[in-house]
Amino acid sequence: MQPLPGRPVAEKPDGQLPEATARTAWLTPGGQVPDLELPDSTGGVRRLSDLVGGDPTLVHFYRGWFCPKERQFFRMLAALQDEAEVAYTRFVSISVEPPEVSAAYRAGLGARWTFLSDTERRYVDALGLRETTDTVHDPYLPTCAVVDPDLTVHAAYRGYWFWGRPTAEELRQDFRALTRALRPDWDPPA
Amino acid sequence: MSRTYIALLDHEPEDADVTVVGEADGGGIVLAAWRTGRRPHPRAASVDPRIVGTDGPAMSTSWTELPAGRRPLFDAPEVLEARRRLLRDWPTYGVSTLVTDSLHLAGSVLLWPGGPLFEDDPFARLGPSRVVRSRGFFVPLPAPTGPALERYGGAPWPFDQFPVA
Repeated sequence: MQPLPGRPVAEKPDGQLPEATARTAWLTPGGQVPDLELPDSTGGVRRLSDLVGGDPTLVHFYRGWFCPKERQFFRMLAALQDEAEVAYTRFVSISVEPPEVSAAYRAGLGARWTFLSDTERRYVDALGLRETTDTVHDPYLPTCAVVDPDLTVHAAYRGYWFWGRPTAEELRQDFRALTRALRPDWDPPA
Repeated sequence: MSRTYIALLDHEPEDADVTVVGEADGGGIVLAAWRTGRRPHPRAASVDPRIVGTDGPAMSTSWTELPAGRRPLFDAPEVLEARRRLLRDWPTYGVSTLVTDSLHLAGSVLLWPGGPLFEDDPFARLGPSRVVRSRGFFVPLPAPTGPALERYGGAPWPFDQFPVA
């Protein structure tokens, strides 16, 4: 039986974590998102560390346009972008959909952040994020990581079940904590 | 702090780091760039430093210069909406705002690889704009990550890093 999302996964008798779990070890606070290199929705190849730059960033893996849970979650992000645009905060959304599909989806959402395409599924297994229960689309598992500029994970959310995803309020809290730690003038100079 | 300044001029300045003769309004025109700590010419404005490079391909530029006295605040709603639109519909080659002080928008350059398809340049709605064709002056710029679109330490948008202390 597949473990329920959010529940701890049992160790194997030898004390080792199952391979799929070991691959997602990066997806915990203090872990680090690999520096992915993928085409954006215009087809230009982008490196994640360049996209993150010096700001707190949401790194968001999603199934694809076809999933109603994704559409609902994206509506929340699209609303949150109006706050993020004035808060030196960035979003990056990643799927297995081709750049032209991501571009159309992004345009339909009115999204003003970067979408990356891993059409060849270069990082799906390395990240431990293959959704094995969807053999039709073979997508990424819905997953969010709020990271600091060196790609260290501040907070992680597994969204296989919708309620595993971060709410807008949780993202605000994560961005606040990261910004407070990142900006030396969080307490304004006297 | 060193910045990158550009200007459209009738004559080649002696002190510019890069000069290229381009074409505008059916005639020749000089595109000049400086990398310096202070504004080098009365017509010069600072740009995102990543957009100037001598190995750039041939391209067209929608070059908007707003006259003094008609420059909106950089945070005015119409300027904010222009940046928002470009972040959403990023042009193929890139864009940079022009800055001459810490408060106002002095203009913009929007790069395009093909013909003069600049009716969609949102900055051109704010003031006079002309199409300038050149080679070896501008280089393509990838889209900012977004949705952040504030200026970083007063740098010309879309430069997206705070100055290193």
